[in-house]
Amino acid sequence: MLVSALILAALSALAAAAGHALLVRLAPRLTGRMGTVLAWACRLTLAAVFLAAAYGKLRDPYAFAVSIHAYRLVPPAWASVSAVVMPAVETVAAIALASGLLWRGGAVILGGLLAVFLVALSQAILRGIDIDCGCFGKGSSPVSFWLIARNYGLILCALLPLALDRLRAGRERAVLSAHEPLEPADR
Amino acid sequence: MAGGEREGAHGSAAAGGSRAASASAPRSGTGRASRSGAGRLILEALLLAALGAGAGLARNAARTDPLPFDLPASLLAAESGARAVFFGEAVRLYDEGETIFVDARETDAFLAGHVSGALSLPAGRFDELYESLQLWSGGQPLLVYANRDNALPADELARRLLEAGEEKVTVLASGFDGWAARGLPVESGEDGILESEEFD
Repeated sequence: MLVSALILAALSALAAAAGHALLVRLAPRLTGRMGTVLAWACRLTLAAVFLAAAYGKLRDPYAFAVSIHAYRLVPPAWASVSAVVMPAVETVAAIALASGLLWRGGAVILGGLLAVFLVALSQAILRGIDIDCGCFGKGSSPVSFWLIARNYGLILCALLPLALDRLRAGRERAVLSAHEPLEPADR
Repeated sequence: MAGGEREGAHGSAAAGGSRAASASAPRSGTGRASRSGAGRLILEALLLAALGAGAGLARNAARTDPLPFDLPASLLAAESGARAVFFGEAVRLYDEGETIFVDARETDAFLAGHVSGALSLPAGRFDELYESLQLWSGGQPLLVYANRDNALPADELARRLLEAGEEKVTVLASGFDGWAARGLPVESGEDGILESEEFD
């Protein structure tokens, strides 16, 4: 348990450093086409991953309910409701992210879901629960540190387009305010 | 001249004040924009979540075999890997007549009442009775059941059947009590009890 906690802490620190480098240092320099390409690459990757995941879960909701219950986090009724609702929400959010319609909301939802998965995976590792992750429905890979690292990567993928969009909007406002006509009293 | 300088100084001070005012304006504008931006993000996310949740619930209700929201914990803990079927599919399989229903409960419970036409193979007597079941089933699909609130015998039997090489094994999620409560065909008595020495 102590070793697992240390590895989880190291992964979290690594992810925080990567997130800081990407979102705070690199993102402001990603102006123009490079930023657009990177944002779209992140959005399409995330959408593809979640559509594939939702497909596996929608095919066999019972198997997904069993997977959720195996994490020992929620009561049986919640596991069943989540098994029905979650893949549909993932699908809608992934379509929004890829299509551009309400894509920011899609990124927030998928980022939030990834944060929830991160907590579920981490507590399973810390409690020594040896289970399949259920990430892609039946027959998914077992819970492992690799999945935690992958989750952090996907969270950054959800945050980067939002950060770039916010920076771009900030620049546009700054340009607009710089070109505002002077007050009549100043002329 | 001096007045002009004063005017100029006054003018530049006014201009400076104006610049200061115009420099602070975008900051407060950005603050408002970021607040409204965050609000819009949350609103978009809530809208999509509501849309997805509605679609998920509607899709489940439209399935021939909707996932019930009151599944017992013992069924959710299923580790056999066998697929669970619910009422819609179970009734269809029963009507088609190609699937053999196998009762995993103890013999006493089977004698008191079971799905019409089912065979009795208590999970704890698998080694003793599996050969008899093979003679009956001949590779036909098997649907295993126990009780709704104690699905563990069904899960155990399904696991043993899959390990023995049976390929088409499913578990009735509602169990026998759920089946009987819906008024589906049940019977009582010794018909269907497998005997280990029957074919010796």
